[in-house]
Amino acid sequence: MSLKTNFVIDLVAFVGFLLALEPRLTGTSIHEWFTLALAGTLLIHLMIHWDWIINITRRFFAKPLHITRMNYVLAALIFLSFIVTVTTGLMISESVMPLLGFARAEGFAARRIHELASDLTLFLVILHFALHWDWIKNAVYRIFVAPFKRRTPAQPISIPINDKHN
Amino acid sequence: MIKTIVRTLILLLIAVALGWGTYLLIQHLPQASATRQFNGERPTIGNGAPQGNPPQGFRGDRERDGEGEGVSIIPSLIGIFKNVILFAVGTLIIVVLSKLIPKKAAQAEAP
Repeated sequence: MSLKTNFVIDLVAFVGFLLALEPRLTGTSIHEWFTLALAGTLLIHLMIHWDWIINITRRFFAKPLHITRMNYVLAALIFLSFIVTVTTGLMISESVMPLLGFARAEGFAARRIHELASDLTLFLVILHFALHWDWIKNAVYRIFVAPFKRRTPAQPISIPINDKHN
Repeated sequence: MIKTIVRTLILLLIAVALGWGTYLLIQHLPQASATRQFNGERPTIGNGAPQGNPPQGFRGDRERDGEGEGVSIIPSLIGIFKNVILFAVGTLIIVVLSKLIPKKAAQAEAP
């Protein structure tokens, strides 16, 4: 997978996540379908990094305090909190689940947990974003800056003539 | 191709299993404290409602009728802006800390 494709998928997931956090921007119905689409994007994100996940899972306990393990734990927590957010979102769904023939959960807990889990996901994604800042910076440079950067024209090489031997 | 399908199925299986576990867990949570609010009974102060006007925690008539959950652009844009600021501040703090910590460790190791 090219850097550009990887970056575009991450960017779509990031913007989608920001929009999904504000259901009043789109209304409840669009919010629900949109978040399900975002879950699909995150699935693609995980698929891209499948080899990394398997690799770190295999040697997780070799060096537990390494930064890579921290990233791994953080990614696992984001996955978990996102699942809790989506599950509780489906439980209080007003559009998706009724369309599929399921009744809406009557209760306060699901709504409250949905809000708490989405806040926790935001916090964890901020950490994830910050820990990958160098990658983001490099990707932005390589995709948007480097192609337009003018190459300096090659300078003619001047070789000093040593006429000592002449 | 088959590898991708298998991986997708594994991820979906994990997600569904965790989601189902979450669902079962939430179903077993005690929910009696809030049911009265959703059945249309306004809690009064001294009868379960906290102080405030209107009593906090009460889902108002407008919201119950669906009006309160509509689209409102400006507060949402402010919310998105607030989240972007949170991302910027969080990233700044972590980037600065990650640059400081190795320097301090190197200084501590230096003779």
